[in-house]
Amino acid sequence: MRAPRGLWRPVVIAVPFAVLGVVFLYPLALLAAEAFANPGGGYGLGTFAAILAGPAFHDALLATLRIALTATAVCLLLGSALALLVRFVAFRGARTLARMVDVYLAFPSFLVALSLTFLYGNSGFVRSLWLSTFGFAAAPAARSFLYGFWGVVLAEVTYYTPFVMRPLLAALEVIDRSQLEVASSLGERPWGVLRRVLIPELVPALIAGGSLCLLLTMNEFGIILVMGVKNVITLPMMIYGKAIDEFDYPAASAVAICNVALSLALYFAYRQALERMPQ
Amino acid sequence: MNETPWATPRDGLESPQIRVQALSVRYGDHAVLDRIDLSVAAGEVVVLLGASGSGKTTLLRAIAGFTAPTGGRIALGATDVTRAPPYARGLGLVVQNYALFPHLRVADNVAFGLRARKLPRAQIERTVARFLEMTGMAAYAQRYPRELSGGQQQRVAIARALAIEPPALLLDEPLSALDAPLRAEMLEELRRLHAQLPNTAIVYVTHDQTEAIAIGHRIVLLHQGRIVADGAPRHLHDAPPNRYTAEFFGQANLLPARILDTPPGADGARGYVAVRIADRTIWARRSADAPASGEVLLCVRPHDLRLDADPAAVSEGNRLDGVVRSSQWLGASQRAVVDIGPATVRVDRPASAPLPAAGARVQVTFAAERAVLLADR
Repeated sequence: MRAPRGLWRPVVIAVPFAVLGVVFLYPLALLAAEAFANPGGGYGLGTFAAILAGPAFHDALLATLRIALTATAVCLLLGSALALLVRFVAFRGARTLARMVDVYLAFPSFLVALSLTFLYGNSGFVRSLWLSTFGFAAAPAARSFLYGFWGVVLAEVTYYTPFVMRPLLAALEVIDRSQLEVASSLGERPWGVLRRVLIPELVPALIAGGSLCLLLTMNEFGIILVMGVKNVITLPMMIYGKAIDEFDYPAASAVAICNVALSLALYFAYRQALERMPQ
Repeated sequence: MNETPWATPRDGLESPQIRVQALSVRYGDHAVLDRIDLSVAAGEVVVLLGASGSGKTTLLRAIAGFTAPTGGRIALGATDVTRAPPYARGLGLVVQNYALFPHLRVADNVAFGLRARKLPRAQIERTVARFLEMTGMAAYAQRYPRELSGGQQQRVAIARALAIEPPALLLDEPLSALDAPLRAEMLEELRRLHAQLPNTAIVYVTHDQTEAIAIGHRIVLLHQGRIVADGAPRHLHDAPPNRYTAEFFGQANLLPARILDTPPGADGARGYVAVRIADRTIWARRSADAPASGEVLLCVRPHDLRLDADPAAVSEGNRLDGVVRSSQWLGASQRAVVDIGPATVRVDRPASAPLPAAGARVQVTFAAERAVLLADR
């Protein structure tokens, strides 16, 4: 395409920046203004001080990190196992499975939460099956595990594992099979080839998939909301609660700023890690 | 070309390093390898030569353990390894694209097999240093593979395969990714390395006959999953056992001929056979499996033919009448294509000879000892 010239040039450059400003930067600025506004007028850190002093924020931060880290760890393990299976164990439909991973990424996350509710929920399929088989006496706790920490982790793992698989499958595609064969001929057993050749070469893909997974799970909101989890309050849930239930917009904005800072910090750590990789 | 291009193998044919017996690899009805028998002695350099799809790489992969045979046996020394996994075979493997581990430095690449064997640290360091020295890569020990040229990477790959001190080194088209001058240099390097490790057998897969001649004590020519020739390079070149070998190896001229039942003169007593080609009587040697009578092929190399413009200058010996179809100067030599009636022949001459004009009538002459008769199949 021809580069724009003359009078048009500044206009063409200005348009994307204007759009970015209106739809992204301006709302963000409003949010920041709300967060930094003191109740008595003027700007300061009053709202932050109040939020950070209370136990609610600490609990939410801790819950967010615990869920995100646990889900990411499980996603990495499961995603690696599945990616290796699809790539190295020849079975019918392996290619179809790899393609389905892409389609899966297009689904909204709360659909997963909804489907899990049908499966494991208080009146879900598994519980009904259990009740009809073993009767009421042997019934597990009245509330399914689904409405707690592990329920959220299960839903997030179900939804975010493909995000780990995607870069892994791409990396596995370009790994030269003859490297694995040479390693084997040098006396290394399959497990050793995995440990000494395959995994080190997959580290960039693991970092990429894992960081993306961590970022998305930290900011996950739809899954927790749709599942109706009551006792797990993450930062996004806290923002929602402050803003929608308590109409405390300054507090919601302050928590949101913290959430954004956390995400950005993670993002830059991820960029740093990628840059330090050899090659 | 000399008879044995370099160091001769230790006499070990009674207990071969690698023995392949009736080895077959089939996919459905298609036989990639069809009952292959092959023995490689300690210290012997055997080249598996063939066009793509001939089965040469499959044979190497079966020996290495990456392709499961559907029939037959493979033994290393006295051990049957037909069903053994690659990591239990202890053979060195070098592949075309080097396959160095990109996340490991040169020294760690070379140490890979030694670490798999859980050898003591000091011993690993000594062995790595020794083989880096031997391949001329000692100065690059701390580099990453991506910082090396293709030739250097291949040296590291060879050092890595040799470091486990395998009884046999398997090379799969090791020089195909290098350009021509570097290839010649690496061939020389391989010969030098082998001189330092005289007991290491080498199985070398290539499609390039120049490489095969340069490095092989023995050349095994494969075609459609079968061995069609097996012998010293010089022998296969001078006395190809069959048509495929003659054509693949050295671009021989092949002329349809008919053996004369009552040869004229007394040349038959000297072991030559008389044939008829284009109304001329030609004397030639007979290869072992050529028929005693009937239709045969006369095989003669382009550089064994001479051209004479004046028929009177040729008094006796083999000669055919021809018409020059084309001629071309090629730098070190010149090549003429001559129509001799039933076929055309390629004639290679010194570059200093006058270039024959197209359409000129010539005599094509050659010595009986440079012509060999083959079965026409």
